[in-house]
Amino acid sequence: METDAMQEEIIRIDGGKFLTFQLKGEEYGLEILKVREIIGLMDITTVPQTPAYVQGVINLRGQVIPVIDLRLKFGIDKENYNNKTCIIVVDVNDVLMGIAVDTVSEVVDINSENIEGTPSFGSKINTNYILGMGKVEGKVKILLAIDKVLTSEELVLMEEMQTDGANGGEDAG
Amino acid sequence: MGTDEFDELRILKETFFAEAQEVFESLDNLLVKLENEPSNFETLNAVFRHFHTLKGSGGIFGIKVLEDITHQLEDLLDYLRSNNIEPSPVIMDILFEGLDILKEVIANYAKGEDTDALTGKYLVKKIKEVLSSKEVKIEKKEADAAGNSLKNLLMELLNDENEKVAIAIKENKNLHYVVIHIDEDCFTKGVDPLSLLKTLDSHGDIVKSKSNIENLPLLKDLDPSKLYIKNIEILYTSNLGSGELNELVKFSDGTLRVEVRQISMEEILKNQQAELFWDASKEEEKTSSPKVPSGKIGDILIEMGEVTEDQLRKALEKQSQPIGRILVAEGATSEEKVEEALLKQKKMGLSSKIPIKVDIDKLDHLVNLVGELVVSQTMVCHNKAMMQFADNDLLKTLSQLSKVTRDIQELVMNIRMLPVKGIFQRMTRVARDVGRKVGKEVEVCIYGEETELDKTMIDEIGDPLLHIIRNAVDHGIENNEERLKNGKYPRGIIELSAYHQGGNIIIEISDDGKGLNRDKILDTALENGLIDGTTVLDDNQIDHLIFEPGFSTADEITGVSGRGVGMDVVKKNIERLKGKVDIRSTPGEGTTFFIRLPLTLAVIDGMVVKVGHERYVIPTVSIIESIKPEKEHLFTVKEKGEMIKIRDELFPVTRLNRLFNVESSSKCPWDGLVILVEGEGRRGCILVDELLGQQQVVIKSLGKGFRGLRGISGGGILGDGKVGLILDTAGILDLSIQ
Repeated sequence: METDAMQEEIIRIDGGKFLTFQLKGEEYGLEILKVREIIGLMDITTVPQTPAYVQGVINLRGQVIPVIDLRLKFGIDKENYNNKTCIIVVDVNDVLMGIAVDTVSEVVDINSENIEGTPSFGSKINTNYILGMGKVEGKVKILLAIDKVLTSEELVLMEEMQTDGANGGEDAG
Repeated sequence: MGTDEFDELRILKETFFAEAQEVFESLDNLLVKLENEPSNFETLNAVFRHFHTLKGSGGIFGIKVLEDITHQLEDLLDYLRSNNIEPSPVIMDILFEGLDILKEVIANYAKGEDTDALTGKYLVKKIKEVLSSKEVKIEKKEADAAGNSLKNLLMELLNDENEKVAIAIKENKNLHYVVIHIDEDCFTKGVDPLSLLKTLDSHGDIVKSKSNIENLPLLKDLDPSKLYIKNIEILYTSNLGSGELNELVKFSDGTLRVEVRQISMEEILKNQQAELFWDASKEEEKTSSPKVPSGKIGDILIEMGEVTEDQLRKALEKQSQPIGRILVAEGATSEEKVEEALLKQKKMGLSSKIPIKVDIDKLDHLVNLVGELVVSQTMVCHNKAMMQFADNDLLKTLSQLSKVTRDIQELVMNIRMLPVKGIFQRMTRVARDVGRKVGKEVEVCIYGEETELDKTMIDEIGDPLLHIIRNAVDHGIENNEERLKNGKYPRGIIELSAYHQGGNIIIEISDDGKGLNRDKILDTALENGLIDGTTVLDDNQIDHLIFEPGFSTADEITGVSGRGVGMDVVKKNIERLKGKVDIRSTPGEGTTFFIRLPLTLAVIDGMVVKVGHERYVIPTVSIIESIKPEKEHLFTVKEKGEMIKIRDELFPVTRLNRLFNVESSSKCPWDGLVILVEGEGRRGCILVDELLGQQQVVIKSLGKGFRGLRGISGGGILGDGKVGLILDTAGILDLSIQ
């Protein structure tokens, strides 16, 4: 049953335009329809009580939107931002969010026959944030289901914050 | 196509709801006014008009219940009007009750639910009872009305079209009053009233016609084969005499009956139409009828009988300064009268302004964009690279740009502002109802109802006001006997005023009741453990105890107030609006509440502080003071953490760098600054590195994802366009306790 459902999901992946970007040399792709805009790196205000991958918030023309570091979110080691770093603003279920990536590459057309289902890495690894694998000119790009990667509800870490607050003032005076 | 129609209907409905809400607010106020001055027939007329408006809308949307009730209420009001009867308390109750039912009907309709047709049935019955006790009179009145109908219509026709009539008379034409009675099924009998009208038109002029369309059904019930016009009344001028005219229209067979009456000169003269001829003689000059004020100040003054035309003309000849001032200088009138006239003029101007309705989302978007525009503009103006090459021209342009930007911002902020009138009017009704319930007579006086507040704030301030007014009536105002005994007017007075003060709006609610009972407050506070017996509090501090959670001094819990959830909720709600509430009370003389609110919720006054590389904004309203801490004033108390002593008082200290996990630039607390803040009634200190200064900050929500954040109420766009987090002082104090 379960494999049937998965197969169905895979079949439903439509080809189309994808925005590709890099994280530690690896190519990833995002459905272009989910992308609102691409901006260069700007001042990010850190927000406390949030997991490490939440870089903070930026002012996008008057709107305050969160920025997520995709390297940290995927467990790739952090690298300092440079002038190639980009923030891709995506629309996740009507909420705008920024994702910081190493660099943005291009927009490519990938037909549905060139998209393969997510390979299985064993049952322990959650792969539902991967839409599929796109093949372009012999290379493989990981196509992300961005709304599965970022859920707008889980930006705040309640527990972490509380422990932080508890040891607030032990060595004063 | 289908969705378009649906959309239109939806828009129409939304407009209707908004209008109905306005009408309800006005009615609340008017009815209370009418109750206080039953002899004021102007108020009665206004009430009638408002109910009539509702009835009209009810008809359009086919809300039968609404139509029925308003119709009955109109009957009742009409009966009062035409018989010069002052509304009795029973009638007032019916009116109030009727209004409440109407509110419910509309609310149900808005939710898409039908109101039970039985709702209001008993009210209709009540109205009928009241009316039936005087039924005879009403019938008589109706008979009179029928007799007068012809004369009235004639008068109306003559009044409206006197110019045309005057021309006709000048040309020696005859004036006829023609009534055409038409049967509903005239079309099926092959008679077309239109051809009759055409015949009439070819032999003379139809000056004015009026048709009776009372029978016109709703569109869905309309039968196109029927003519729903019962009769047409026509004022007709022609060279033909009445005999000839009768001959002309005499083909009627019962389906179409025509009555012709010639109107003689005497008749017109008798009907006080002297000015008709005055107009006719001056026709070339195209003088407007003197009954319609032109809106010019001179004309208004003439109309008020304050100056003569001659005086005005003289003044006009040398009009280089305002006409009113010249007239005063001439001794023709007094300054007060001119002012009065000016006020009238202003009102005329106001009535001609037509507001448009705009989606609030669009407005918010505009506010956002303008905020961003301001930030970009500041950044351009402070760009170092550009300033190096700036010449005079560029500087001039830049200063022009910043001025225009600021003007736009101010204007846009203003669009969201609404007068407090509506909410104040609702309060008069609340006071009246509560007064009724507890058997006290209360009058609400409103001042500054045109003061404007942000729309969101208006929506939010309703509940706190309601609580305060309820409390004032229930606890503040004494009962009638007690008031008389204390030498007060038996009717309690609550004053509700709104005004500007130093960039804030103050709403003041004061009653002339007995004031707060401080002994009782102290007792209750002791009982609830809010204070310990040792602290000495001054009067003001005692008064403020009523804002503590779980506080109520009412001897018994009444249905009106005193459930112990009153004033602390008031305080919390107002603080949520970035406002403050204050209280002042004099025993025996009354209590006054001051609610201080920012002009808008979109912008707050904030103190920008720095911790390490991060900047945070602390709302200025919650800051009490900031001090440079001395090393010897800092203590660590076991199980309570760090404390600081400020003027013999100990406050907990929260190190912001630790709480938010940022690296601080100062090594020890005494290198930094301590800010004493208040939040939800508690005080505490926040340790920061540096104060950067005060700034107006546009508040932005951080979005759904950050909803769980504590100690941070939102993000603000700082002067350089970067986001600064706005601290929620109450939340921070909470966090540091844990």
